[in-house]
Amino acid sequence: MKKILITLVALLALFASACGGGDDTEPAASDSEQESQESSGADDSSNESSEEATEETEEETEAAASDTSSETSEETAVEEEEEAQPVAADDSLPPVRIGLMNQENDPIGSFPELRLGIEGAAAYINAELGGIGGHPVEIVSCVQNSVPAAQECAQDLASSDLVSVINGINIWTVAFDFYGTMGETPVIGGLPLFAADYDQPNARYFNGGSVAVYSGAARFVAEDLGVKKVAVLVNQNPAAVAALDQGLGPIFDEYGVEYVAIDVPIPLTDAIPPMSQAASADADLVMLLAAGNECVPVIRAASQLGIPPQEMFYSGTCATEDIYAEVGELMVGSWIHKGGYTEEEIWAPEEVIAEFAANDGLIEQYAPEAPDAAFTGLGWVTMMDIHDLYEEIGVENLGDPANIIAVMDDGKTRARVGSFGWACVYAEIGLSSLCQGASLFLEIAEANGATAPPAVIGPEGYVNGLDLLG
Amino acid sequence: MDLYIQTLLTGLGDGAVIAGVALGLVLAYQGSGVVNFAHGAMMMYSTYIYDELRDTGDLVFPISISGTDRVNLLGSPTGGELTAFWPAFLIALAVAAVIGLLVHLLVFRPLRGAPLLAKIVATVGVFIVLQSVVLLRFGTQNETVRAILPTDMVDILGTRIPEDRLWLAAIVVISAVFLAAVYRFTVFGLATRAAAEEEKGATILGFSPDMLAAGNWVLASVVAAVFGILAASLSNGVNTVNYTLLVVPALAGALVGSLRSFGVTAVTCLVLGMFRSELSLLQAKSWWPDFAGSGMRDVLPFIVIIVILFFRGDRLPTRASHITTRLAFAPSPKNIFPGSVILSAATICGVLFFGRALRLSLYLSMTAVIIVLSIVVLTGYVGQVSLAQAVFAGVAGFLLGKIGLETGIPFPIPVLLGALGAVVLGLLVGIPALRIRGLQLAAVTMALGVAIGTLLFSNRWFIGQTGALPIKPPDLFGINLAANIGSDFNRWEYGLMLLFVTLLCCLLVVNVRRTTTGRQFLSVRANERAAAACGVNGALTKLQAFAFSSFLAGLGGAMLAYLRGQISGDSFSVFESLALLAFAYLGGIGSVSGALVAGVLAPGGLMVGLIAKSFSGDSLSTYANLVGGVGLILTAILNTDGIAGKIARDRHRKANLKTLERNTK
Repeated sequence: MKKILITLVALLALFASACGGGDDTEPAASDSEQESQESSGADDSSNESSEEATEETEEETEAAASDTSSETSEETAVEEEEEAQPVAADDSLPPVRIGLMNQENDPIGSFPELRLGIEGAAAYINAELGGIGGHPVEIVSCVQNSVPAAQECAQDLASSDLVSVINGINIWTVAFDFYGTMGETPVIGGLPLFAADYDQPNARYFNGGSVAVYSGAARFVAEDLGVKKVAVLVNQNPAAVAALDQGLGPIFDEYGVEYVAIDVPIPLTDAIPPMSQAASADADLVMLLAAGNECVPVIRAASQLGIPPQEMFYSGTCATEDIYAEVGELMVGSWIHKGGYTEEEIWAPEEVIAEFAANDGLIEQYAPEAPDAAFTGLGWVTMMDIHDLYEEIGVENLGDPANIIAVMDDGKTRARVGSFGWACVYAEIGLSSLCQGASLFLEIAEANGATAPPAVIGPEGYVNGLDLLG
Repeated sequence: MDLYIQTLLTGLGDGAVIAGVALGLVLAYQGSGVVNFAHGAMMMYSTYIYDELRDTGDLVFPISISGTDRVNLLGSPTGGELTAFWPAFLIALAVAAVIGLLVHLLVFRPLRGAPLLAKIVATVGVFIVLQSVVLLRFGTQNETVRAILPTDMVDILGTRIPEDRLWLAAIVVISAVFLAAVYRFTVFGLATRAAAEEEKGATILGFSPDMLAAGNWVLASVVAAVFGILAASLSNGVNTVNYTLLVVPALAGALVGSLRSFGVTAVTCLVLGMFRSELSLLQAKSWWPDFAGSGMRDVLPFIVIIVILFFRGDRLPTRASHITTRLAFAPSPKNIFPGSVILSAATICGVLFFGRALRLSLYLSMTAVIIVLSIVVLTGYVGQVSLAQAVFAGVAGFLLGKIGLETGIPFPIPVLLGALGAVVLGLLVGIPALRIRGLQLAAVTMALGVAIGTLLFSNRWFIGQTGALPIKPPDLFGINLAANIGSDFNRWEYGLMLLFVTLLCCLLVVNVRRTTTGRQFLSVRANERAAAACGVNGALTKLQAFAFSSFLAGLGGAMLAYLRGQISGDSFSVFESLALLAFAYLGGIGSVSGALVAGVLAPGGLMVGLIAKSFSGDSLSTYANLVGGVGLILTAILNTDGIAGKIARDRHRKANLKTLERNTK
């Protein structure tokens, strides 16, 4: 499983190298690299037909690749030598202190793996990447398991003279004024769970939350699958409803796709009733979105009700070893969302496979206590994103939070998250805190979760739904 | 039409799981007079044990023994295979039996003579302990459970449904018939029924109520485990949340069966499951009102409970016990001036000189005091057990937020309007209380809490588009009373305002206790008929108590909303109400001083703040819930008056002794 986590990191490096030769040890991408990434990102926002978009993205990527290869060919050998020589941070320099708030020891949900991933990545950065500008990274963690504890954590972190704070997985932050509490301390990285997280002046996330996935899924379903009617199974909590209204609905409306939202209750004691409704909707496709624990019963129910796998679409949370072991055979032919390449993408580009191998064991080495879990990878990748970003900004400029927000908002696409870049370019549509609209959607080819290659392989194959909003 | 029938029939699966909990509730109630709010948690624990046995062959211990927390009993399956079903199933049932026995021996046997409230608090403790053990041993990730019963589709009534739903329904019916037969034809069952009717008589006949209760607890736990395991594959497997919430619909089924009839309970639960399923379909229809667009399946049990209890409440049996329970000590406060001055002065010192973190704890304690005062009035003084106090607080908080944002009405009017909104809700809840009390009322208010939580706290027309409502900071005569401004956290201005409101609420309750109204409250608590004979209007008194109580809870909710700056429904669930009731009980539910102690002990309060300052490290937070749950159980067992109640009762006893000695001399 940890290979899956590594792949996320590897993929970033791949994307960086594909777009300009950046690697893990480079402090920042050059302008030309960023421009090429940006142009790649802009392809995703195209609202043309998929074929045209594909052709364009292929051409532009080739151009970008040739540009960057010519620019960096002479540097490659030197960089490889540098890679082979890990550089430790200078402990005599003052640390770059980064806060982390995370939910642990809470029966409702406990996610220590995210913290372990972040701490492991920080250890890796300090041991092999020279810290940030030579300064060691110090993670100031605060774990919470209730609203009072979360509020106290937020106040502690906001009063701790930190460069920024990572908002890990925190379901209680919605119960108090989290962003107001953080005030001058920017929230950089983590997981935007609630609609209230989407548009905050002092928060930027390297991913796009539910609204990005919902909008990307809607675009993929409408453009690539060409369906006309969809039944959407989703728990009607405020965050999911907001993502439906802000992300999925507008794009379906734009494409003329009719959709029916069917409530998946929590606790779900039986998946047959909602699936029966979905089956009766006479829809071309049934989408299971924001699934937490509902994947297995829903997949079983679909099979029992005779809904063919080809007419099922699952959220990325259904892509786990346990679920494939339970119901993998029933998922063959279905569609699934992915945050990036994993070991199930056996068709992934050679560079990705090579990166898988090269980085294998990194998390085990630096985060030995971290379990094989998706959130371990999220924590690791978040910290690596922050490293690259702060290297680019420069330690001397991190004291002013406005600098961090300004650089993130500069419109450039930067690598490091998942297998595609991030850019905070969605302020105009009221999603200023979300910095990634791209998602990957694939067909499950085998019972073990191995997927079939999409029509377009590589960063161009991702679907960006946020670009169509507004 | 096929879809409606299919949806109705597939609800049998939902109904079967509910029935599994409900049959256990009936068994536990018949055996020991306890409505076990932790029964879903017991079901959850057994299912986790079963799942781990099949996945790894390991039996997981609740605590580490000699450094190990598991032992392999069934070998180690490889390649995605599972261990054999029957050994795992039987071992899990054996574990369930042991859990049932231990819960009886360690928790409810010592509580035989305790008031109803002590038992409710103990079930909350068991709930917390089991959830914490699962967290420590299995984590919070959902565990998928492979289907045990056949899942092929079968044709029935012109539609197709999975076969396992029919199997489960059949097992529910067989279980109910079996249990009814046990109760009708075996000595154990007859003795249990006799003890439930007249415990003293059963004891005279030579039956041990303890042994009978133990047997029923074992049976109850095993029944829950059977259905938890068999039905896990229907749902999303097992996690720390899903089964624990089933106690509400299960309680509805058990109450329809008068907490006595297995047959009626089983059938009601199956029908309830079918209608819950049908509601899920109906609420997706275009003609269904938007405000009820989700969660109606959770509201249905509430309606069932209300209807049943309102029309049958006075005929529902109360389980007999030959041990007389004593009511919570509710002394009339005397000479409160020095205490008020000292406590206020100490609080002012805290507001002005505490550090930021401890100030936050102090403020959380004060808000908890206000809400707990509402429980003191309603439960401590009038004997009405409410599990909806957090909901009242939440409604006031949201109303405060909406009024402040949408109308611009100046502070403090939104606070009063929010609290009055809570009063309206409190009166609605109080109407069933005119006919029912005690356990039945607890059930109604719990169901109401779930229903309100579903209908209001998850609906965007009430809580705002993002699910979180920002609260406009209070401002009085140009003085900003906000709790936080920028990085100035937990400001003293807010602290003093909060102290003023808390003090006002305390004095209000003290004075109510001293007045005729307070004496009427206590008379209704002690004996409604005797009170009526003395000219006390019981109905009016109860409604007065509900109105006053919900007003206090509303004020507490409003103060909490100002402290947080933004609120969401998550903070006001029915489980928050249970926790508040538990802390109120710990502090001493019959007095204002008990509320003060409860506030200190409350989640995030001063005690937590001080402990956090004294200890640091992961171990504390890792085991905090477990320790809290055990502490709750121990306090319920060892000190049924609560901390302040015991002190007051001891003082009262000493004063009486002195008087007696003086008179003797």
